[in-house]
Amino acid sequence: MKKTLLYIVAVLLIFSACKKEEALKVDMNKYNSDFNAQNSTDRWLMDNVTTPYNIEVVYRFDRNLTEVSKDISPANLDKVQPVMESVLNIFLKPYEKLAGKAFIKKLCPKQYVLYGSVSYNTNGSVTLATAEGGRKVVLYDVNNFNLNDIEGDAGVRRKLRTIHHEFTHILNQNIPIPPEFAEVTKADYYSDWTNNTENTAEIAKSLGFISRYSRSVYTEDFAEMTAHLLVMGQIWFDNYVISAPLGAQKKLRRKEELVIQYFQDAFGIDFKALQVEVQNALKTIYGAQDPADLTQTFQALLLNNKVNTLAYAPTAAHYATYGSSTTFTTMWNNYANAVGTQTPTSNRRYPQNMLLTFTSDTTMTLRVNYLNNAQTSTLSADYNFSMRINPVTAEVIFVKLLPEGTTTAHGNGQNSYLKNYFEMYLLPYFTNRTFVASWLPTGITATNPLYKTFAGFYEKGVTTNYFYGPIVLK
Amino acid sequence: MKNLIYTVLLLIGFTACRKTEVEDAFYAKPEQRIADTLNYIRSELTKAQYGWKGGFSTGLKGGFGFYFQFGTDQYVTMLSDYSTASGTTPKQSTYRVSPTNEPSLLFDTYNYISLMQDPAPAVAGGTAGQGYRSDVEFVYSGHRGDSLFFVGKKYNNPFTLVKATAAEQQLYLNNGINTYRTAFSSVYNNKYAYSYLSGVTNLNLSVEIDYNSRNIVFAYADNNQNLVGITTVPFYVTANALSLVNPFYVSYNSKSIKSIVYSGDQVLVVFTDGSTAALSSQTNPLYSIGLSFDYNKYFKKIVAGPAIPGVTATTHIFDSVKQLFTTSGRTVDNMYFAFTNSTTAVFYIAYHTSSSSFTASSTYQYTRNGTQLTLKRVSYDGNWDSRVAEVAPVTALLGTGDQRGFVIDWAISSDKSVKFPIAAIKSASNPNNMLYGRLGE
Repeated sequence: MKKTLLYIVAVLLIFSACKKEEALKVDMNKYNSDFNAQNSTDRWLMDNVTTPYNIEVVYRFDRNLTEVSKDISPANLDKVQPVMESVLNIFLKPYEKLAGKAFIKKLCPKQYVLYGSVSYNTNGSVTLATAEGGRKVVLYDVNNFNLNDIEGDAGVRRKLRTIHHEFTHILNQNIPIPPEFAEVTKADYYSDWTNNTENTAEIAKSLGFISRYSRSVYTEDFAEMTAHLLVMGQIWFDNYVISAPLGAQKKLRRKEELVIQYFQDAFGIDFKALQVEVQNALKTIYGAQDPADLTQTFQALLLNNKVNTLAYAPTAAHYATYGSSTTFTTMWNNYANAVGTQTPTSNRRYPQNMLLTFTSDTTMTLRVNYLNNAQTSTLSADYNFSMRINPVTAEVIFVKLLPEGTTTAHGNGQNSYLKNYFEMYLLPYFTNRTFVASWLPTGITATNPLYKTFAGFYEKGVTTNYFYGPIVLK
Repeated sequence: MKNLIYTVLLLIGFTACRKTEVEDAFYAKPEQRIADTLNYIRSELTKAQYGWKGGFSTGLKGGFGFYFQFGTDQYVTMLSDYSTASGTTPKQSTYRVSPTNEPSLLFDTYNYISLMQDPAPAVAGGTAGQGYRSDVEFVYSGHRGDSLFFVGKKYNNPFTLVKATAAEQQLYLNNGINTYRTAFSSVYNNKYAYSYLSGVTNLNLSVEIDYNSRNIVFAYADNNQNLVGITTVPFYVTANALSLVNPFYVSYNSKSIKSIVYSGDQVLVVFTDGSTAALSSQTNPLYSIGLSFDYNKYFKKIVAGPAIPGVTATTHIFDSVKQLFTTSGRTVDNMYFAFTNSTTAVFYIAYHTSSSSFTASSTYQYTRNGTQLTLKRVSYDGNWDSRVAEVAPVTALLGTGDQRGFVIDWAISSDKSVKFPIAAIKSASNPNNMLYGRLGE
């Protein structure tokens, strides 16, 4: 009993021993703070970024917000506001308008950290930005930001592409990328994407990727697709697609569809409207301009097999209005004259006009319509050519296709009274030079309602040698 | 036994609440002491009415000097001897005195100090990813007199701030750094060839200022022209001196040299005690090349570096080898001629292509008699053989197996800004056929 009591007392004593009631006294007024002055940049950030969007912008050097072991320079004070303004105008506001305040406030990165220089990696490449855990975005190379250099590496387009790229990752972390996306170019992802021989921009394009980086892994591919579509714009994207091989074009278009679908299904965002919003901001605030639309050029229509015929009739009125090429007209007249004045007189035929039919994106049939010897009926003579078109320079090369076709019109063309003169005049004209496909005549400008209803070819480097006529689309 | 346990338990119970008053080893709690230090630095920096001057050394390129005016609004305005423009155009940035780990001075937006730290070689030179191995964060280490001492957070380079006087402020704000640099180099370049300090028995001190590398080389030599010791010290230009970066002061005559100034036609060293001594000049380096350049002496190599202007030679061998490599699509990283042991010398080239690094070397047997040298090539490696066209200037001078006679001698540059000794291996038959360059360890 006594022992037990003693035991209880001892235990009680131990437990009660250190009971303290008083609160811990820490005077937070004495907390040692870094910042004791607010400057005009701080005030601007507070009013325009922090208060409306609850985003912290750290622009004053803090080693612990990046990789501590690396040497990275602080941001230049003068660059902070322009960079964050472009983020506001080209990223936050378009999303806010299309997806609503709640969406952007909830999902936008809550901390932007700015550094002046790039971050060097051990493989010699440099990092321009990183996104971590959907919360923090680190932007490097802020000091080179240049509002006057819109398209350059330091320009607003390049920087905002990075911002949109990183935000896409955040979206993907909330709602995963649809599995179909990874399937489109599954076999061609390549982790060593900086490899200068295995992954040039040309190779990446030919495999159906929007950039070299997009080849690294499908998540980056998705972010690159989104960023390029939004920031580079639809025309740029269409140009990119059309300059790629056909197989790659299909893959790029499929990825585009999936991106649009993802934004609709996952967040109910009209991606096309968002793209317009981003492009509007770039154009109206920063003076960006769309590239020339390569899809609406004559060569693009030819390449896509959209053109049916191009007609040349020497007596047509438009040649009087808009002029014609002496070199070409002389050649045609010589040809028609030679056919019509040959001996014996029974061989004479009378060429009237010429029609180019674009049978595919690589073949063309040249038809000469002529009157028979009695000049009572019109017949046709056809000659097949192959056609090679450079999508960027619009250069076109025609090569005679042999053996000749087997239709009646092809047969007509093989009659010596036509063939001899074809080989003397028309054949060398078409095959001895590089042509450039173009919206000719130059007299019909973009404001003329006839624009793009006429087209033709001029000799590369010799703009005075050309032919043109009204075109019919397929 | 049980009793013992109870007793112990009881005793623990009674002692449990015994509080011992702990006496602080320091005067206050850590946060209070940090706060005091922060306040001290902040108030010192901002209350100096004429601003601060100071400088630091960098890991890869000598010293850099600055003039600062710190504001209570956490703005700092500065000038620097980095370039002519930075010496005359003030640059404003923010700074903060931060409690991070240790009280530190952080230049937290871009300014002239960030130039040395910028990892992009396109900005200020330096190495990709490292710049000049310098910092923008400086940990406070103490104060003495009118100076505050800091140390770079990552690269540990010392950084000293000294209060400027009213007169100094006036100089700084009126292009003083550039004016002083021009005036100083005019006197030093034109009135001095190889400058040195004497006054101690059997010990002279040569002073070679290299503006390009931002270092001053101090070499001690005795009266017999033996090299006794050598030390390389980073310096920076202020509005009234070439200042050695503290604490790399150089001792001579039982005193410490802290800066170098000019006065009229004379260049003087200034000791920490305020006394001065004038430099003397002679046409050759203070120490003898024969006694300092050998396999077992301080200098073992002649190294390739930036092209040295003003030397007359039939072929500038290092420069033309470099050029030939460049033309062939290769870049030379390192190249030297060295005495490797008492009988063997080597010509060594390290170079790289866009993908790989290589070395090429050829080995010579030599005999020496003072400055008389005979060389005979005994072997060479595969890369030397495959780069035979690029190393042709070397083989033209040093031969391919025949024994040739040479003289080890100084080469003299006609360019007065070149103040470092130029070592040369000159053909005995035609002294203009020579290999020359800086001496290396």
